[in-house]
Amino acid sequence: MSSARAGSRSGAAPDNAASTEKPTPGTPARARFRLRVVTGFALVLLAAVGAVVLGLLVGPAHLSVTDVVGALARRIAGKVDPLSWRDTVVVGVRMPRVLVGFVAGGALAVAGAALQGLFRNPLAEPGVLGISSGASLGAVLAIYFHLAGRAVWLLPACAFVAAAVDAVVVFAIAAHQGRGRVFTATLLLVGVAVMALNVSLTTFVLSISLASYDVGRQVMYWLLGSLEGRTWDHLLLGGPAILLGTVVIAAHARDLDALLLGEVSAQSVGVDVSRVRLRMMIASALVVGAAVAVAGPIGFVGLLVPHVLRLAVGARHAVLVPLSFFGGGVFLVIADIVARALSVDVPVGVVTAAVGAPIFLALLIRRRVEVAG
Amino acid sequence: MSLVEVSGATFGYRGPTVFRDVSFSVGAGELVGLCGPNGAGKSTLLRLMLGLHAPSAGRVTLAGTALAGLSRREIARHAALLPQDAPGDVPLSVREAVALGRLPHLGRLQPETEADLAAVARALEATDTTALAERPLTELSGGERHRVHLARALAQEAPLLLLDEPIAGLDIAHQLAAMDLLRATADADRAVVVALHDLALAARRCDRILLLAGGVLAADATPAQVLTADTLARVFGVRADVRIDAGGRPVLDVLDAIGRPT
Repeated sequence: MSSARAGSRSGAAPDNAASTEKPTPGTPARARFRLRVVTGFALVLLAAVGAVVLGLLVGPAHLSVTDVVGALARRIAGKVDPLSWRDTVVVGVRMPRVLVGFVAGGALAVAGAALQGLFRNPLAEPGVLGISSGASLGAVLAIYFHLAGRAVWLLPACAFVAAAVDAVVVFAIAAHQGRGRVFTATLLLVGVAVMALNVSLTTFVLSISLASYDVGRQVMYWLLGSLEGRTWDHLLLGGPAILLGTVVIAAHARDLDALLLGEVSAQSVGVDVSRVRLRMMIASALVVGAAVAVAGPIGFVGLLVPHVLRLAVGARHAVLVPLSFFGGGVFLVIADIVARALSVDVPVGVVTAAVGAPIFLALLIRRRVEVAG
Repeated sequence: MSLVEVSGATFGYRGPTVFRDVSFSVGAGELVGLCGPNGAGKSTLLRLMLGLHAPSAGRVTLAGTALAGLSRREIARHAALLPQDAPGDVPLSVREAVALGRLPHLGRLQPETEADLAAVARALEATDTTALAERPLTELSGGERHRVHLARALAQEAPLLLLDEPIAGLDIAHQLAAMDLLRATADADRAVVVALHDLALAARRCDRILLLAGGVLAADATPAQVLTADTLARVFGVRADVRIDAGGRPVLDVLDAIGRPT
């Protein structure tokens, strides 16, 4: 921000001096902004590659860089050695875990960026739609009824279906209340009510599941948010929905920018506000539902990552949304590495909140986060 | 051909009627002041012309096409609205905010063209905000932010420009500059409809005054015909001296409030 201010001062002098000449669009400040965006993308992509490689290296089984690179090369060539435990660990265990964490973290951050822009509120986060709590209920029911043990994909599938049903219920009630139109405030209130219901039902299932130590432990562990034991099935189930939702949100970047000017101004420049809001909330519900289904309820990624990136590169969604995807992915993968390094049994959700909350508080105290009102 | 035509428009927010049977049209080159006491429906009428509200009776036509049949994007290429309550806490730079005025001219993923950049530069220059271009809106004063929102509406370069109290909150020099800007915009073969509380300024700069009062369009004529001492007393409840200057325009001297008869 300070560099932008300095830029305008240095840029103002020539403009005023040469009053007969039209100012050129390419001012130094603008060039600096472009440089910042390009640097931001380069850094985030580099961090993404670094986080994935690190994620493949760290774990209870000690593997060298050569082991990892060799296993990846053999995977790409389609010649994985089925008898090598090293190849199995890299390709069958760590790779899906890292990738599931990456897309789930990306999804949560993208949904956070979209919802914060949509509601012009820096405190909006994926949980407000009530979708993640629906996914949790689905997952917990799947564990309780012993579906999760039958096939690895059944738990995330149940969670995803529950999230979808939840989204349909939330939107249907909001649309019914608005006689066909979906009002934002109504939607948020319905989301809060449905979330309360979901949490109550989830807690009920948890309490009755405690009768069996094993089931109770599984339910509890899932609710804490962990990437333990994620498979390629999880990635195949969650990945496409997350990518689709992210692309839809990114394609509406300019509409989200216009909404920052207020509802009437956005309509003045041709944005169909109610339609854009509905699309963004459906796309957010899709990515959040898919993320929670495959990775469990993980807090703070959706709130923190878009905030930090907005401070670094500004609020334009064409930049913010894709950067949030990679930033969220990197954050969750690294949090998972930290969780694994601490102990085998620490859920990643503990780390994201433990790291995220102090960072958020620090930003708040330095007044870099402006809360309206 | 008129750029906007309102015929027999009646509107009420689910309850009592705000105004009924309002008809007028505005053509290219006209600067029209929309005046009336608080709550007369000035903002509502402006929104009606942008299709943000649908009239319960009557219709609005933009350049000969019924508004009801146009998409929001098509409307945006024809008319721009500067709302009264545009927010100040916009986390964008001035240039980014003004560039959003080009949205109706751009495809979803199409980058800005030279023409778009030039339109933005013109709008910044016209509103005296070029020097602020790279500053974030959140760092500006209220009046500066207001000029940025005005620049956004100008950058849209729509044939019809609708403004809701664009000069409230500006210092006196920028008020006059803004009115000159609207005059110049109208002279460039566009139509400008501006809601104004400042009757003296409306009298001095507008070609026509639409007076919205008592739920109807009470007058639609030149400033000299509309802004008489009698009308000021009857509609606004103020006692005023009105004299006509050499150019035929009324000069208002408002003395005191006498209370409005109901």
